[in-house]
Amino acid sequence: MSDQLIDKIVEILGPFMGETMARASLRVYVNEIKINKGSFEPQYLDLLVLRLRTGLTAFAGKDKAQSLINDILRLKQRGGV
Amino acid sequence: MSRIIHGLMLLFIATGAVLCFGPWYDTRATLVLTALFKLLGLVIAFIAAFTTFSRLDSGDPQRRPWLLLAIGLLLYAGGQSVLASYQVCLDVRSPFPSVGDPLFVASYPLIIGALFWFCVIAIHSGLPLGKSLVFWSPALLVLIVFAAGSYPLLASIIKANDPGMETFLNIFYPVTSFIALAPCLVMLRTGLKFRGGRLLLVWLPITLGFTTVLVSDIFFAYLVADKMACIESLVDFLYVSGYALISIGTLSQANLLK
Repeated sequence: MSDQLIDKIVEILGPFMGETMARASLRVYVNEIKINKGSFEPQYLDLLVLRLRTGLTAFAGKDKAQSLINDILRLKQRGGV
Repeated sequence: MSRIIHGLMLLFIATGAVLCFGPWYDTRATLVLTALFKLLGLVIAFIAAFTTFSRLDSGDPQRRPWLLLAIGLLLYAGGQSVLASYQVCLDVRSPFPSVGDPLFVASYPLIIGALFWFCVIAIHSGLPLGKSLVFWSPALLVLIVFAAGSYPLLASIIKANDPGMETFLNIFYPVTSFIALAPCLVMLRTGLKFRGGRLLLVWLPITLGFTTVLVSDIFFAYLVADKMACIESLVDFLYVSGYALISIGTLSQANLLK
């Protein structure tokens, strides 16, 4: 996954969970996907989002988590991936 | 909105400090105001915790612990309203024990349960909050401090030879406060992981608030056992600021879900 995409996701998650936690979470989840799939390709963004959703829901509930997830998925639609 | 909340609550704490540490501390007006401040802080915290519960979806993991916390805060506010009624309506210092104590006693298991529940949800969230031992390390630290420090406290309470109910409460409050400190400090460490984010503004004030209240409970036990009247104003201030911090955190959480 490009550093640019990580930065864009951190921009979305940072105000909610803090930049450090957002980067640490992304690093852990991307590494997990790399271990399972061999590499992290842009099409695995959905898998990443799935992992993020659990953590976000635990602290902010489904609705807030979904609104953050939607912002991340919009990156894909905008061709940010 | 959150800036307004924080500004108002910091003003609340500053006013508490002026009331408790000024030469007017022992006057009726100050006693009434501090009693009302404590009650106001708890009522705001209860309303915000209940609002958070109602804003969460039925499948949200945090919904039930927020309800538990809201009920705990309501019972606690009930206990505080009994104490306040002595000071405001009857113009006397609240007796110890009082009819408010059963409400305080009932509130502790609910608050402790909610705090532990938040910890369990956090560790299962999948966020990188540390391995089990690291995550629970603040609780272990509390356990060690309790094991080392409880004897002198409990011995001084027992030595005081107070009536049975008074002795029970003087043991119950600090012991349950130590138990509550364990999940509280775990969530404090978790909250600090969110620095720079809105979740920090939820968990830092809530956990600092509870820590302040729980430490006040421990001080209060010393106050009653050793008749340490000199720390009475400090204990009062810690309660006022603790309740204000809890209300800041719960309001921030309710605001986050809006």
